[in-house]
Amino acid sequence: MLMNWIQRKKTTRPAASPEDAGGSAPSERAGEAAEMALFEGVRQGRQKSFEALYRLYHPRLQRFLLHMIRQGDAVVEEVLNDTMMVVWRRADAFDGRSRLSTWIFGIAYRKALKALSRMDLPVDDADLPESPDPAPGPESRAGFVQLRGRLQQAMNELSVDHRAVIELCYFHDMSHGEIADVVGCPPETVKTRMFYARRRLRALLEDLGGHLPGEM
Amino acid sequence: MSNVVVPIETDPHQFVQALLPWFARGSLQEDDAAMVREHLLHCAACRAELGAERSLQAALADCAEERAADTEAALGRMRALMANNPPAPQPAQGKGRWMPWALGLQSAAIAALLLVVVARPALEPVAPYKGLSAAPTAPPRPEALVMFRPGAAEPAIRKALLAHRAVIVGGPTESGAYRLSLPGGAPALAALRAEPAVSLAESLDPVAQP
Repeated sequence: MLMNWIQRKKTTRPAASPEDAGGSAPSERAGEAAEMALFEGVRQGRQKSFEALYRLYHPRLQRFLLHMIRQGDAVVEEVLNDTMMVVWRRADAFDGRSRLSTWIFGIAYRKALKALSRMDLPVDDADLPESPDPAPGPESRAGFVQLRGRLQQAMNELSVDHRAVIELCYFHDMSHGEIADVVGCPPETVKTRMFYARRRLRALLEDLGGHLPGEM
Repeated sequence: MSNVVVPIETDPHQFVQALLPWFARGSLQEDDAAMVREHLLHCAACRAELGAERSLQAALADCAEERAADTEAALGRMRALMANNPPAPQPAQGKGRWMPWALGLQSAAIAALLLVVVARPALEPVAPYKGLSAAPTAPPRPEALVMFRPGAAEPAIRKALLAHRAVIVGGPTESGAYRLSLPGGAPALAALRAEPAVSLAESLDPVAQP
């Protein structure tokens, strides 16, 4: 039965839409309508609308780009402002087939890839050296600071493709259809990347000092 | 960048495990979620994987770095960039040809509408009618978008809303913003913006925006 379902899924590719992720709650739709009201102002060239939209998206884009680019604040802000400049200058390019947030994150993702290639930084974990052993020692394994450090190091070891799906799913609550729209690949590819990203993340965490809390 | 993606659709366990991040968050479409649930009933390995997924998500959530975003400073630099990059002009294909006709038709339509509206009361007085199920008043009009500071306590938020007769009518958005009905207009918006619990308050009324 499961295999039949898998076959059916392969032939009926789900489209990313506002109804994806199990359907939007009414309050969420109302919130999206509010963001769209601001975006309509951006389309008409109203700077105040743009600034309100900038304030809404700055914290989320900053977090996303920090983890994607792994560079200092100045580089992240440059990429973020490049992204929002596209929103300001090319608002007419948004055709409404996806969520506004998906469109904006898609621009940010492509800008991040360009920045990485411009800086000649590795975008694939195949180019990365093996993780250096931080050797926290069993006596210091527990503890919030160590765990945060291990997680950050493990995330940094992932390829940019894998980091993107982890980041967008876990920290921006996007469905696989929305992530597919952001990174420009089929939803099946997103699931495959997620499968290998999780496997790699857990292997890295074990290498870096043991299991997660609650994990046997 | 490697573009080689090894397909996982042929292995039901891998297929289910690939969906577990969204399943654990409750954000999977219902038909997918139903099939994952059914598979988990019979598969101890995937159930263990779900447990590990929940641990991973809990650890990631606990360790998510709360970084204070200096939005206003970044916006200041953005303004300088925008000063040199005005928005691209809207496409105006064939504008010169159809615009006079469209304006003429629009004027005619407005004149006809005015005639109906002005002349009709004189010809047939309309008795006021109110249905039993009619709403007594129109729903409050959303007029502002607001974000509260991270960690702002509920009493502080409530106090700020009550002080300016603001009512939450929508949200939160993915960005954590709420829609407000704000009868006090621009003065109330300015006062709301100054509230300690509020990090952003912007008008949604296009007329109020330059």
